[in-house]
Amino acid sequence: MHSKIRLAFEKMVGCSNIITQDLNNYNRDWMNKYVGQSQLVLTPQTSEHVSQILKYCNQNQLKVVPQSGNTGLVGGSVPINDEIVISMRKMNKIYEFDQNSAIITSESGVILQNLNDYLFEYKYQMPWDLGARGSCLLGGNISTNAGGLNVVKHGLLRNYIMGLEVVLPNGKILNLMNKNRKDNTGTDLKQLFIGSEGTLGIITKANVLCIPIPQEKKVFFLELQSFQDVIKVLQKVKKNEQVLAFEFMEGRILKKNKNRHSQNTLPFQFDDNKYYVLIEIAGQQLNVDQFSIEMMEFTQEIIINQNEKEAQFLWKLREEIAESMGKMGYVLKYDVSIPPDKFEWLVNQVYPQREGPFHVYYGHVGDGNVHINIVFESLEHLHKEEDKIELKLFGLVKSLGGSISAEHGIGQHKRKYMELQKGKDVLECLYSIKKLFDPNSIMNPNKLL
Amino acid sequence: MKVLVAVKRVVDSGIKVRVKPEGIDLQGVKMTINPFCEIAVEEAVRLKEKKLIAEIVAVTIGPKQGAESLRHALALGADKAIHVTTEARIDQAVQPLDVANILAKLVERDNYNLVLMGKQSIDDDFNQTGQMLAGLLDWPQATFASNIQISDGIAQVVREIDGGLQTVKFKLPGVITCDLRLNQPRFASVPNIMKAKSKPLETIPLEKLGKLHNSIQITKNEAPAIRKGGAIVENVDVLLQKLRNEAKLF
Repeated sequence: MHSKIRLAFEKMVGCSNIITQDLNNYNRDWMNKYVGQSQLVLTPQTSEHVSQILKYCNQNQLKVVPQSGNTGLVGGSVPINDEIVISMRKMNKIYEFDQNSAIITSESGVILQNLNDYLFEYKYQMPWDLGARGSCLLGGNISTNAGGLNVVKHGLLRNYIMGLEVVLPNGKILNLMNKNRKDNTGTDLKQLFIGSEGTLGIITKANVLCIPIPQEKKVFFLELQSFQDVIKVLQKVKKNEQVLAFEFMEGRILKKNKNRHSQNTLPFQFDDNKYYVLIEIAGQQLNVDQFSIEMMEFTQEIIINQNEKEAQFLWKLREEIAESMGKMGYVLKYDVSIPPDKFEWLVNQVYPQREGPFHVYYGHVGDGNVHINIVFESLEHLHKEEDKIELKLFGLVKSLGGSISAEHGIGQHKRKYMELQKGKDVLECLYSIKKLFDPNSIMNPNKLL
Repeated sequence: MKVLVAVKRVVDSGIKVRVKPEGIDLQGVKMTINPFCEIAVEEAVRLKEKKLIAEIVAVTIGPKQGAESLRHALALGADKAIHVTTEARIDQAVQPLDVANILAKLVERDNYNLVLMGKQSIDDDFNQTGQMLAGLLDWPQATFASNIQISDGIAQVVREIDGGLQTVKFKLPGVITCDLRLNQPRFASVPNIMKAKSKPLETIPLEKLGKLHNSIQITKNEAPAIRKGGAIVENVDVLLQKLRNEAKLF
């Protein structure tokens, strides 16, 4: 790497914030599917650092990849070639939590779990939750409008962002910070940065609206005979505002994962042909008996946690699915939005009779969001099947009026389907906006658009 | 054969606690059956499923919310429950000798062949109640059980001790306290929780069975010191220097 460039960065951020060795973890995503060739990682510690870095890169046409926890699933947070990685993990200051407005102000490099630990003292929590909570950073969550487990009750992340500080590709620090609950002063510019996957600027600070920690939580785990029963239960509980999470899983993956838990009691003898639902309810005064009676209309096979350890174990059964499949081979992962009662139909269209490579569907059925994972023994086999599967799958999703990416985002993985999903007119607008903010195309190139 | 299983209601071990000068802040804190007591209930239920015992009675001492823990035990498979009521703080004022005396009264009243309980509770970690009860009743005891076999009125128990595993045998009645590796408790099923509501639950005010003497006084409550980070030292000389000057070991 050019010594002139290195010298320039040294002057900006100091040697301790420049990494040129052991870049493996920065260059690859956690599934080992996307691998880049970056030679340089910068770890800015202030907004000023970020500003100077981007200004310099913009002037010198150097491409950059902003990187948070690198827990993404679509290759959006790793370089493709030798883009400079800007890792946000050192910008981890939490400034304050305002108890009156319930708004927390912090830098964007704080780990989600650490935000929750900080808020615990005030009996508040972050309004979104996901399996990667111990590694993902605030900025990454915001720039991808992360979904997660609690959307069914709390709604989308973008509704909880009150303010942002964003550094634009030209180095300008855009102050969109705001601690007011309401601020109707024209076009909400921050919404452009939320979900644009690091292609328009780098988020350096945020004001996030938090929610009180519920007084009581209970986890129910049900065994059902068919996917249609899952839908019936969903219809019944949909209007219950205490439902915090509603997840479903196929027996076939739970059965396969049994050997991961030889030391623990399992809630059921998992059956390949049955379906399992995890429902978490939360609130100030739970009516557990009432909910139990409603669930018993559909099945007698329901267990409920009696303590926190049991709740965590039940959640583990759901949350370990992605990782366990990753260990079985090379996984094609899909994350689509379609009407929930069509999940089973969709999968059967791709693999009639459920033949073909081992594949599982599961996920946030409460949000109409299904994850489909397909395992291949080799990367070549995966690449051979990939395009065929995707064209079929995304075509079907589009015909149902669905979305090719419910929550994982576009990144590298689904770029080529953007026109199918959005249409020419929308894409034109998005290109214009991109050109406005990033005329030199330095921000996260070849991602999203 | 009739078994009495004593369960204590404690703060859920999975949650964070706040320490106040007067003790753990119990305000709005989730409580649950002490993990070792839950293992005792599970063992009783398994013995009943093997047809080695006929009836399981669960007992707890505490305020009215204690009934929830009894309902949990009933949902796991206990047949009846006894709630010894008191408003005293279970984690401080309800102490082993008093508990042992109360349980002894119940044993005399109802003629149990076996008493099962957890080896200790996770709030005070006394590990005394089972032993004291056996002493008061003049019964044999086996503590830290990791395996229990019962046949023809003889209990054979494998105990986890410092030196390894010790097997003891005694003629029932007796007291057995349960340790971690004895079993993995089952999940409570919703239909069983519903059925548990109609199982008999007897309420007895504590004063009818005994008294709380508060002979152990708690003089201080404080959270453990926040752990400071360690340091990697270059060589043994630096290590010795730190042990002398910082850790003040010699």
